[in-house]
Amino acid sequence: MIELIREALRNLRRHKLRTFLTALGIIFGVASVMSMVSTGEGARRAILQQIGELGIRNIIINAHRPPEESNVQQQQGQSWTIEYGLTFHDADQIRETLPAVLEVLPVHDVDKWIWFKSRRLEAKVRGVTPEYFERLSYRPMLGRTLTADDGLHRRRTCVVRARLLRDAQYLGDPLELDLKVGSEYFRVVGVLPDTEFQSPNRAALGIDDRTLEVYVPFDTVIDRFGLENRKFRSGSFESSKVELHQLLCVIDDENHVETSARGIQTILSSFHKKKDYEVTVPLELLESRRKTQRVFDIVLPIVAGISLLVGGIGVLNIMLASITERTREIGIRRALGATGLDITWQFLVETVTLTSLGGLLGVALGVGGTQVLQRLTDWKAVITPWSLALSLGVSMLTGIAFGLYPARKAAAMEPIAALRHE
Amino acid sequence: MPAILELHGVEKIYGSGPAALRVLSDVNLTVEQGEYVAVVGPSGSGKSTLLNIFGCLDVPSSGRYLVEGKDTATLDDTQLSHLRNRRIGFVFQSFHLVSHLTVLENVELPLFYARRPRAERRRRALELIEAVGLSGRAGHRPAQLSGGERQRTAIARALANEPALLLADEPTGNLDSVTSREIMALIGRLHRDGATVVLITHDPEIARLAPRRVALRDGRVESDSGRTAAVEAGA
Repeated sequence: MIELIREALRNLRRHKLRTFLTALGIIFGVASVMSMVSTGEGARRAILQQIGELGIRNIIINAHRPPEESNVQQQQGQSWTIEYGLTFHDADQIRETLPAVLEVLPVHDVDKWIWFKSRRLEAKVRGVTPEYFERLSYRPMLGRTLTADDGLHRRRTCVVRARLLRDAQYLGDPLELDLKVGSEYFRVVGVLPDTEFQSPNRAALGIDDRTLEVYVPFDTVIDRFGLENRKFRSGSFESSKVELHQLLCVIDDENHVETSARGIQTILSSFHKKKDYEVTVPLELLESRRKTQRVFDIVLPIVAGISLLVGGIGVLNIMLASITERTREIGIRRALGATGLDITWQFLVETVTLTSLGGLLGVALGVGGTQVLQRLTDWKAVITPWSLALSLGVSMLTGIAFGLYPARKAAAMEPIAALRHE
Repeated sequence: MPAILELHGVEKIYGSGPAALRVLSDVNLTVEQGEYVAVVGPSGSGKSTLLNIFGCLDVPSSGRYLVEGKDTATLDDTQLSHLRNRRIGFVFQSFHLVSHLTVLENVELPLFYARRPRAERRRRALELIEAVGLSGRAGHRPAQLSGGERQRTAIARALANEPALLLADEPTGNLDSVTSREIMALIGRLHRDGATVVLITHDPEIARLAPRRVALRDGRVESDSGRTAAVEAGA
């Protein structure tokens, strides 16, 4: 067998260009399949991870600033106050009406600049309760998350993402860092890792970029900054009043998520005249994603099949030409005692060697192409071992499928006719 | 011990109906172990067809052909391949070497199909190459050799599996007279060493070197100098 492969390699080397061109069909087929599979797999994992991070038993309600024209605006001298968003009343209603809802965690954001020394940092300050971290599976890589005591004593503590430390170009002990939010100083007590996956799908899914968040105790925020937010913007002070920016509802069971989501929609729509909120159900996102994935799982093998079919036909064509060209050699081999089976094997091994080489190069090109694609875009590609094995396996199978006919044809030649062939 | 080959009423007809061409008719011939037979005849007399039948590359339309007592009609394609591989060595007019293989690899081919281990193949092939006087040429391709050297390679290859029968089809047809004499001397030496040789030629000069001569004309055996001649020649 090894000798047959060696012989096959030699025959292929005799016509380098022809071999290369023939293998090209297989190379491109395998390469495109490889890169499709790995970018697809990367995207799938990123989305599943992001959705998983939101928690499949959670329902997230975000406050929305309603469109400008429908604003209820109260003119007070030179400034505006816009009132919108979720309220404590909403939270109570949901908690009391829906038995499947275990907890409703309030979140209040502070629209203030955040400073480290004289450097202004790009971040969003969220007042959250201690349970928030656990429900969203946020685990600190350093220090701790916020505790009930932080809220009870109105402590000015905060938990940051690792990215913030980099942005601040702070090199000391993170747990000795003080950040200035508005006019108040907050001590960092814990650092969370950056969210691992970032993809263009994040925005499409309505998931916030949580790498730019700073978490402070909910009670401290309400105490220190109140509910109103004032900001100097385009020549005038703009003031907005939002009680709660987010509600995180935790449902007791996965099977109750759907009904609870409908219940929440009903409650909110009866208390809000305008649609100034949005309900995100991670479980639904997950399911719709799974459906998309299923389409992908069907389309991909078809595309792969077609490209390998095209490559395989090229191989078939060249092998048929090759046996015609080598008819006399086949005759000589038969005269010297090669059986039909010997001839079949010789050409089959040659074809499979050709397609396997194509497969190998295709995998290499696919892996390389994926890396380039990853460099150029911010897609995350994941090359799974099974996709490597599958690509090689399929290219070998292509060799067998399209090599069998020419090999059998070569074996079926009459020895004497083959020998006389000029 | 059965004869190396026996033909009983062999006919060969190409095509069918009115266009049918009868190439051999009622050929009866027996070649014993150790004989050296030249089959002579003008072109079209059927001698090539006869050789192909001898070599199991072609089958008779009717009649029986036995190799070492075995009727070839009872053998399937694989068994015929084995027979060609183990019992018959071919030398062709146009050499029929595989052009992209070296001398060594060409000589190794019959050993490969006999499933001999690699090391043994190499050793045996080198031995044969030396025996036909081509030492130092083992790594050359056929295109780098002279006609005589190519035919020597073909002879070495034919002898690889120590066949019972050496079939030579116009072995000197493409060679000049000096080289022809050398090749014929080599074949003569093989015969003296015990090989059974059947040689096909249209050249009376070459045929004269064989102790027994069978003349074909229009597909029939015209004359056969007979085995006695062989015995006389051997004596």
